[in-house]
Amino acid sequence: MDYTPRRLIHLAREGFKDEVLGSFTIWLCASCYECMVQCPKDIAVTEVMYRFKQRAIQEGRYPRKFPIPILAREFFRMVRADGRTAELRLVLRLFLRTRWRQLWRMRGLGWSLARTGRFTLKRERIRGRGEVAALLDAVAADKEVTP
Amino acid sequence: MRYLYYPGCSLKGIGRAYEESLLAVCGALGVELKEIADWNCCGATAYMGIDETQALASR
Repeated sequence: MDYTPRRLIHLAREGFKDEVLGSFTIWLCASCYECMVQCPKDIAVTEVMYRFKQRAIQEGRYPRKFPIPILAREFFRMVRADGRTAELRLVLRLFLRTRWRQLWRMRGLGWSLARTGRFTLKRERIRGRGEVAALLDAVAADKEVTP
Repeated sequence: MRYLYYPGCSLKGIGRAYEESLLAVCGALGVELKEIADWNCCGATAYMGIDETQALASR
């Protein structure tokens, strides 16, 4: 985390756009909403983080090769195309687009997963995928944000 | 007793062991579980972290 959330909000208020949108902090927010629950001033910190992330995606300014925004993008693409995700295919896509060299180092894990029947490359596709895509497009059109 | 259940992608992937044990236990207890037909993404985890509305839309 390069800036604490408190600093990040201050930076945004003072107009440090590059620092805010290029920061790692916004991508490390796991949207657990704990800050919003605890905040004595009812500040919607998680919502602010969503907005920063959406803006960073919109402007293509997230840290290069950083896995979290790429995972979000690949996740979205897979759900939009198929209606649901297939975990392993998603993880493989993520690695191929970020740190493909690490795949070799994880071969042991891959082998364990294969041995226990959890390593399947099967594509998961639902019949109603068109309806899911239509819903997602309607939201995207409303917000003008697509990763 | 017959119930419908929603597995989600995790139960079909890394959490497969949970689905197997759930079905085995329910079978032993005489509870018949049937997977919801053509279920779609629940919008949790990865997408939830970017856009709540879109995550809920895919639900």
